[in-house]
Amino acid sequence: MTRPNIVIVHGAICGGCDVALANSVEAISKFLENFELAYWSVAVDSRLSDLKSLNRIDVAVFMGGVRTSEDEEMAKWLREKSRILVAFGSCSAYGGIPGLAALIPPSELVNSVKSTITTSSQGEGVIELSKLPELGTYRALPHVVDVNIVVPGCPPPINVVNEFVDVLLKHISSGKLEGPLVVAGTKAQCENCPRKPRDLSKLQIPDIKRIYESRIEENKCFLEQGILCLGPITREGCEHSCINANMPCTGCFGPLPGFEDVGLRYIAGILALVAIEREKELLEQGLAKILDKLVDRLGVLYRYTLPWSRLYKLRLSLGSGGRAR
Amino acid sequence: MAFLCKWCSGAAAELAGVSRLLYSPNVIPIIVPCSGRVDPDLVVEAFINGADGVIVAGCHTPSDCHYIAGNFKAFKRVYLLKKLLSDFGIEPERLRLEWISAVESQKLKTVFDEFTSTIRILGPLRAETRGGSV
Repeated sequence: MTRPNIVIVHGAICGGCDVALANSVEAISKFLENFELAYWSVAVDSRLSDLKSLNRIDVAVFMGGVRTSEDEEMAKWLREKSRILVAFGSCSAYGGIPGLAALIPPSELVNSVKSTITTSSQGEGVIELSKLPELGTYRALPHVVDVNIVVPGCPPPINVVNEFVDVLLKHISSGKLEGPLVVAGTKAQCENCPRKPRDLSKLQIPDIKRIYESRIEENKCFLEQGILCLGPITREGCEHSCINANMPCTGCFGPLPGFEDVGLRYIAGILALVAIEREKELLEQGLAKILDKLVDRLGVLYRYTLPWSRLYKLRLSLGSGGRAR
Repeated sequence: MAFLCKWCSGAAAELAGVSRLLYSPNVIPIIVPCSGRVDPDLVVEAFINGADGVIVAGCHTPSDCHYIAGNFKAFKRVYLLKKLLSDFGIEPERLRLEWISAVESQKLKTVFDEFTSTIRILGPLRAETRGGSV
């Protein structure tokens, strides 16, 4: 019996997801044991023509977001040919870091790349980008085609990669999967957070601070120190790697089920609690001053999920591509 | 679209009705238990479903709120949502927060009329003429 084949394809990607996959010895050995690795341009000698010559694909892993017309064509082609399509990494699943540029018109992006002087452009200031495919509206993979498995993380940590391989092996025999299966917990980061406050109902956020503004106390909830942490609305499964390194959660594991628009949920639930005990003393002006300290709203609230936000969809439906003012 | 709290602004709207005050017919009032109940999602939902402007009105700060401090929650949410709207390139003037007490039916009328004319100047959110594509 021939082994099922697997292809690993890239959209707009930094390369971190490849490293994350290659980093897990367990995952790689299981892959090689159970699958025919038909295409993975960064790891095996294979060309796009090899990929295109395949008649049937059992598993297609898509890494990175859908940025160019080529990415979109590839995503649609993969969907057509493959039994199981996997959105691997936060860019592919939710939009990720490149998703933050989604509000900037593509022409402006290209111009700023062309006019930025780098060491390799040797001071000339204009870079030729003649072979650049056409940039389209930035989207996450599930907005372009239906996906079967979502592997979140920026990049997905080893335990999630291993779990993904197990999930894949379990489902490859049973045929096509229905609906996106997310390889992550369905509870919030806070649920098992090592810094969980004793009484969550009495959580107080005294102020809004940026990370450099204070010495972050270890073992105390970030929110209680005024550092915005996306833990309350982010799926668990990453084993709190950032939080254990004394950095707040930035939400790469994506929203909890039912919390798809991270920013709006965070405003409604967490930011409404800011300075809750001093409201009557600060009044509107005082509260506004505190809320103004949240300078980079999109970067904090939608760091990995901007293409999922309802306001972005509203913006797209308005049909005008102006830059956010 | 106007979200009015049940205890103050909603009562002001009732009073405006009883007093036969004329205000712009474009406003669709919805009474909610408290302005603090107005989730940013509801406001965005209104915009997505074709509203050109949204008013959130509640009891005066600091101490009129029936639920003690719901109006402050409304303030924080609306304040941030307005900022977020402008981040996404949508005019923040399309969202307005007002404190209107149960007896201020005249203020309600003024706010509604003013807001309607502001929105009229801004034009519809979904104007065909905006043109261009992302």
